[in-house]
Amino acid sequence: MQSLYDFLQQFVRNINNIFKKSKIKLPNIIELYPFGIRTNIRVHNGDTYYLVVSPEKCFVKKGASAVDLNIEASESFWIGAMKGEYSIVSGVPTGKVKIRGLRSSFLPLILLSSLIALFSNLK
Amino acid sequence: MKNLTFAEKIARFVVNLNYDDIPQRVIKKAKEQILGVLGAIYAGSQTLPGKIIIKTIKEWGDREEASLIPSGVKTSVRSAVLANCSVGVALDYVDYLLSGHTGISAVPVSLAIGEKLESSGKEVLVAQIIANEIEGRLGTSVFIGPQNGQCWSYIHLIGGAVAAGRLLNLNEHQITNAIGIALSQSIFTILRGFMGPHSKLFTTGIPSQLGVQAAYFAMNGLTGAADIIESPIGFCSLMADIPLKFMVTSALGDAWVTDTICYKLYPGCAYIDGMADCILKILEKNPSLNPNEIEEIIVYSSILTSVMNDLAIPYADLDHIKKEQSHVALNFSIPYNAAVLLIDKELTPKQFTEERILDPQVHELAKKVKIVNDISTSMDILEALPSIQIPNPKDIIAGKFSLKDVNLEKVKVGFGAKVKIKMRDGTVYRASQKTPKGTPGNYIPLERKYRQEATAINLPQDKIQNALTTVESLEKLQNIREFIYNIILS
Repeated sequence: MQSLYDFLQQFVRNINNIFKKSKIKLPNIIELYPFGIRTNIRVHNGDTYYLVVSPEKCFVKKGASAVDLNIEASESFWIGAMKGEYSIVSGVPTGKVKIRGLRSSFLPLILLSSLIALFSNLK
Repeated sequence: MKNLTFAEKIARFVVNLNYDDIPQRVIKKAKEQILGVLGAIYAGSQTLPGKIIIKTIKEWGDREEASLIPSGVKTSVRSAVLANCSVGVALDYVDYLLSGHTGISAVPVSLAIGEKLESSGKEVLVAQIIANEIEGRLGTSVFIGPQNGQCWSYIHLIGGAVAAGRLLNLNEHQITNAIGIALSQSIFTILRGFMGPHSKLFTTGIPSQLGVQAAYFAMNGLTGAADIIESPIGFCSLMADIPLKFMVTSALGDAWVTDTICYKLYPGCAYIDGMADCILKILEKNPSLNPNEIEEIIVYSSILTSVMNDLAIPYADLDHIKKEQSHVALNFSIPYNAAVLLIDKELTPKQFTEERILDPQVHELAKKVKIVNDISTSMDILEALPSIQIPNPKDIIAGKFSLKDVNLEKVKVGFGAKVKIKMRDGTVYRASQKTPKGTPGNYIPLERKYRQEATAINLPQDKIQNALTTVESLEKLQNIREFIYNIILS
């Protein structure tokens, strides 16, 4: 069974490929958040992964970093989202996803949720 | 202009814009906008929350200055603005443009004040277009921020202030103050209050009313901050993550965001439109398609459609709808709209009545709807950017950009979709729609929508025809009350 870390690595590979090949200037769209999207993906009662999606570098590594966007959910929720069964955003109204500072995190959350929904499960 | 604040620049534009300065294509779009908005108000007045708001405002009683639409009951300007703007968003049946849902404040505010002052058709049109242009630019200035779409309710504050300021013939100083007063109370919509309950209707009504009141207070000498927009402790700094302040006055009078208007032909969020077009195409070719024989409905949509649907999910199930007695979340639900459209063979306000939204058959069919995040449909939205030569977003953020650099007539902001319907016998129906009907590149005259909704509220046919004829040459009307008479019941 794929772990959440495996899924995140796959997502990063897919995003990097998109950045290299795309004609649609996806990096420029990401630059609307000019510093990129830097997130702590937190598993409830579990590990934390630091995910960076920016035109210069996309990567994931184990452990937390000092960033503003912190998203927490259960491991099973994260894996369902990475499989494309639902989006991260869908867990916000139901409380399955916890965000620190929702107001200031809302737009990057939607951007990240959209990117994961589109590209995490891309073969 | 160099040393003027943004509010002062806007005020100068508002005072000095002449009807003849506005391109005819923009005026034509504004006239269509009037028909679309009136259709939405008529339909919204028949909804449960619409009826409650109208009832409450009638109970208040007030000075007889302007009409409640569609009843024709007279009330104060501020109450008419509150009622007509609120009722108009009941079904999410109103236009949007780059960037904001401006019509539902621009039109009712201009009509209400125009009615009180007996303004000419020309003046009402100018006020309406001014509101579109300023609201759209203000929305763009805070595009990178926590609110978006209709939750930018503060755009209606400035729309109400500038439309009222123009019609009240305020001077530049007074309009600057009106903007400063209005934006000093920059309200935005809390998503939970928007997604589901009746309170969504106040997204437009309350800020529009406050904006109009600001103009009246400014007329009598009340002051507001002239630098309310750009101050380090002002509107843009507090409402955006990355403020694009320069957009507020970008190419005012040279580029027209009214060019980007997208009309609504169906009730519901714009993200529904592409899917609705697809299913109607399938039904047109297969009118006897039996919804009971459907195995699965797959909607391939842009990621924006999915996000909006995801936010509506908790509030769109039957139990929740019964609890909140509200159709509102269903205007954002892809499954409900697909199901009810396939059963009723139409998507009109009739699909959102108090009885219709509780039909278990519709909700059962809705469970067969699967939404797929479609990369190509999502990319269609992004691909519009290079085609209209928007520069690198870093340049936009740095302010090295003007709306004048963009051919706004060619901007496509509609959201397409693809639909596949699998039947139990193995038959598969497919349709796709890249540019939804009603959006730039696929315009449909709004006359049909107006007739449909005016007929549904029993507006006499002679009044309907008179309204349609009058709006075509609204600029020739000496007194807007002649038009108002034809759009109300009494």
